[in-house]
Amino acid sequence: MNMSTINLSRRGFVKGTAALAAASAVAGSLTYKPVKAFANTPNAAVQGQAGEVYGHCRMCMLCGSCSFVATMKDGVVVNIEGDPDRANNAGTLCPRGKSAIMNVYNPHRIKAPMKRTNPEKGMEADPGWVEITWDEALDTAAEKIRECYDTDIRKLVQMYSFAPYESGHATLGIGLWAMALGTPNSSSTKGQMCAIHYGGCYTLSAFPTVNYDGVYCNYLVILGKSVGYDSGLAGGDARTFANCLRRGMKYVTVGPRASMEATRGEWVSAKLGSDLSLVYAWMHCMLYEIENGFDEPFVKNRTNSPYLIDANGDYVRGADGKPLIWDASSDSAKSHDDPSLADPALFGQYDVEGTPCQPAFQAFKESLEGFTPEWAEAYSTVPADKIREIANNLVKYASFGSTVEIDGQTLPLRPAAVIIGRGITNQEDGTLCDIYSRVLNMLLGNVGNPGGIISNMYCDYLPNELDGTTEPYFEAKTCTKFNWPPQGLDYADVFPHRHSTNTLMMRTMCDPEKYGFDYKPSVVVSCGSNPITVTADPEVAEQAMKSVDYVIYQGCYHMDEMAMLSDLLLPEHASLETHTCHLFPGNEGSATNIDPEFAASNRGVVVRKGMKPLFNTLDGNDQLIEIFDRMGLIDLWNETANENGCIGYAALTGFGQVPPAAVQFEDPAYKLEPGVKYTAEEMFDRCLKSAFGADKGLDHLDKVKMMPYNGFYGADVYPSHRNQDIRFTVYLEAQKRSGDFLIPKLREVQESGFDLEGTIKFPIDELRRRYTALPYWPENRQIDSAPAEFDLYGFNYRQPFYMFRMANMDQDPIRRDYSSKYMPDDNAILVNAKTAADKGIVEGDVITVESLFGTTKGRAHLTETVRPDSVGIGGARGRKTSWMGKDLLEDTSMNDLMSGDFGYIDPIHGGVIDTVRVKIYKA
Amino acid sequence: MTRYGMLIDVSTCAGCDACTMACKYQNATPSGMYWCKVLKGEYGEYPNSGQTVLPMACQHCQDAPCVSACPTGASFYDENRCVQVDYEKCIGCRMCINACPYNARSYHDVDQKTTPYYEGYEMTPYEEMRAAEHPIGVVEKCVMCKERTAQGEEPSCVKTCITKSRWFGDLDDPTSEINEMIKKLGAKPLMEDLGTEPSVYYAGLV
Repeated sequence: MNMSTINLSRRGFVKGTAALAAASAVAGSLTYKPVKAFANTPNAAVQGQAGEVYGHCRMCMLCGSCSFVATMKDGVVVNIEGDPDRANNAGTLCPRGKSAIMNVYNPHRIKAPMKRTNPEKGMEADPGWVEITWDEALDTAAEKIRECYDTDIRKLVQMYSFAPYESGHATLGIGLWAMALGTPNSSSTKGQMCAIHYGGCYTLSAFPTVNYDGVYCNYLVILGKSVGYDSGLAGGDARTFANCLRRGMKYVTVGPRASMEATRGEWVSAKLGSDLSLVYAWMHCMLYEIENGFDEPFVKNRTNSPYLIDANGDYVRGADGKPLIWDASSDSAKSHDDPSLADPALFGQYDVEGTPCQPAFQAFKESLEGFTPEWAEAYSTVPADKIREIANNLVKYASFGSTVEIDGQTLPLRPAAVIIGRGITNQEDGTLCDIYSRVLNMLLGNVGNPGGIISNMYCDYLPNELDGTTEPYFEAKTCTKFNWPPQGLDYADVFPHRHSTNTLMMRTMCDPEKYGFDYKPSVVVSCGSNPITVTADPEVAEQAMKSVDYVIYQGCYHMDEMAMLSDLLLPEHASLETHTCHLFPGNEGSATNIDPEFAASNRGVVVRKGMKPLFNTLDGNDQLIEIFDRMGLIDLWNETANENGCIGYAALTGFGQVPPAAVQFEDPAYKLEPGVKYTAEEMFDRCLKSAFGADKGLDHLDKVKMMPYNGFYGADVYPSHRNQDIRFTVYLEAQKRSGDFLIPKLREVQESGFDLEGTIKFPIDELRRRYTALPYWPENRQIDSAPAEFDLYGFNYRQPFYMFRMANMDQDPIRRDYSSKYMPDDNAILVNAKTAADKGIVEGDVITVESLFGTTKGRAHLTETVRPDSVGIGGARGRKTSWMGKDLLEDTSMNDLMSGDFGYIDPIHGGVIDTVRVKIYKA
Repeated sequence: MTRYGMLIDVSTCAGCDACTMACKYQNATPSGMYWCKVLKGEYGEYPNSGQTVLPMACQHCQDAPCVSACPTGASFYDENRCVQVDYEKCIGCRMCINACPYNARSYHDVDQKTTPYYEGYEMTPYEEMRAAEHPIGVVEKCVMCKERTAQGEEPSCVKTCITKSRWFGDLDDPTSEINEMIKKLGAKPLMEDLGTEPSVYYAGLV
């Protein structure tokens, strides 16, 4: 057993990423095409006193999807609108984007660097802030981090998130700088409530997620997700939804509530957390009930379904190591890429040189035999006839064999798809549901094809050359490393495929020894991240922050919960006050825009050239540069930027994303020189010139506002057209392989005397079962086993006004006032009218919602738009400190009902279960 | 003649209130006042139920009860047949508010200094800069973004609509896009039987 400590030498890490960076730089073709000339060249004065300032918005998770133009008068921003020159938002701007004005003038902003004088930390304890100089602030931060670096870098905990604005996402702030220093403790506080990434990363090399093709899709089944319309996204997704409605597309929304999306199409009311039963039943129908129910040529030739597997479930491989397929035409086994392979067998039992084996599809089909529509009805409450109707519609609309001409090329046309999101992935069986919804699309033959599902960013598939399949990447990457004692405080050694288990990290930080760690963290650097509000367990996060010696809030913005627990505040500018750029990676939301040209123009480097900063704040990137310089490590900073790029999500470069998630230093002449401290603007300028040409630096970007980068055109928008050989994975061999590696390690830990099962509150045998290659039904789920008194299901849904807690999302006084007057579900608990009558609750009653983990209060809003067995709480609201306004403390908070403890997460991708059993009563 | 009008396709409206906020910032209306709103509701019985949305503002009627009710001539039809309020002439009697069947008008009676957007704080520089646009003691409502349309721009609610469900144009021009779309979508004014001849048309009402 490998009991050694983590093998993460500082130099080794940087070298490793360099090789991958080089590979992706070659693979991604650089296609710079100037966008439409800026019709009205912004006349903003340098200092933004009068005229216009402009740039990309960054006030939701689609960081940079939209651009704005703000009007200045006498140094005051007096209006803000969507930039008509930006293809994504096409002059529109959502209600959140408008509130950028109120955020500049947010009275709760932190206006200067400060240090704490009251050692007692608490949500209401006055920290006794004292304003200090930037020199003192940056020197202190550098000294604290350097101390970890010189002694044991593992003691450094860095967190990033959907920051108030920049720091969490910009440049190296997403965690790369901390990883470059060598700490295993760079953790995202976002994403633990929305772990939707594993399945996409596993099956389609798609990060963050998977979109549907709004150009050709005619029938879309939506599970547990908003495709942008309910969220009110200006960046193209809502527009696509509306355009698709206009051309007659059918949307079927499965969920507990008649959302706006459900209202516009068909609403299928299903019990919460029952989506997996539906996915299995639909696949059952396609394989057992519907004639020609799946795209057989696609399944045979574009998936690993025909790969032969032995009794252990492993691929049967030839002498060259390649997986074998049974060719029915020659009655012999052949390599998956054998040119003579004519008719891959999907069913049957075979013998290859004495090894009994069968096509993976045979086992796959058999595993679905019991999942009949009647079985699914019993669990989901969706009538079996309705389940069959949807399965038949998917097959009918997919029109197997049909084609479409795009730019003179013939592509398969499969205009039916199933798309999923947070509502299903943040369940105990989230991994299964996530990944098998993708597999269902493989049966429809729509993956990467017109009408089907497409990796967002339209990115290439990461190949496993030997196996001829897609290779799971990023968080789905097959597990090959294990450390005990554990290294990362997020318990990544036990949950190697986690998206973010920051909620677990908050627990281990409180008592590292109990969890098996041989070190204790001492310094926290939060890059604009607030682990208290985004978690299900704010009190645990508060305790974790109090457990370390020193807390630095870098790139902080307002006096939020994290500020109340920090020792040092390094405030950054408001979004409207920055001069910066970002590689917008392409629509993260849901849809490929209905405009076929969109794919070429939506991905690229976008600028923001804002107004003069109002206060003594400093750009978040420049803060990090200063800290590295003061640590004497500016060369490490420069080298990390050189190897990974510095515009966009540089931290993702090392995962093989094609095209790369950050603009790369393509021309070495512009790489950052050793020993030189550049400003963030100088870094961006050099990176731009390196990638686009000597005359295409930041000044040029300021004028054109956007430079497309690695966009795709015409038929090339479709990844399965660009790559017509790679096979998708119906059979999850790599997931099984991850388990084959991991489970024995976990058993060794358990047998060595450390009660790992008790610690993670999950049986290792069940974990073994989860790391499987085939569908199965997970019994004994939390949601099914709560005490009977918790007779309802509580769920959260998106509200356009209150998504996430970025910027001033939940503080904007205008939206708060308006929603309190005109939105019936504002700070409300949605209760079905009949359920309410049974419980003696009337409209407007203040009621308590109680789960096993906590309570929240709100006004009862009686409605026919939710299931009688469920109650809904909208938006991301609820604060724990009154320092940004006492009224925020009264907001109804879904998070208060959940638990992010061990045992209450999906055991593979780590998502916190966000559907909980509850009871309601008058407060 | 020019008669500015608007068409709203409710069947594609997402109910996101981008229009509400665009109007708010375009006009810097006092705290708590919204010239444009999206009214929310629902229809049906579970599970055959759904949500309704109804974007509302002044309907710019051609036979406007508010104009008829105004004792001072403060409410009037401008050169584009939009209903406007002359703040100089308005005496704040609020007869027009009573007369309007669309509940489109608001009375501004409080000094904004005492009701800033951020309660308990001073007015933001944005409010300070723009408060003078809203005299105290007058009735206000949607002005069809007269300053924008004078410069050939669309009203801000139309421009910002994230689903492109609003159209603006000249109802007196038979070739205008808005007339074409009204015909195509079968749009009608709200509460047409009242005979106020609104210039705002709706399609897709449930």
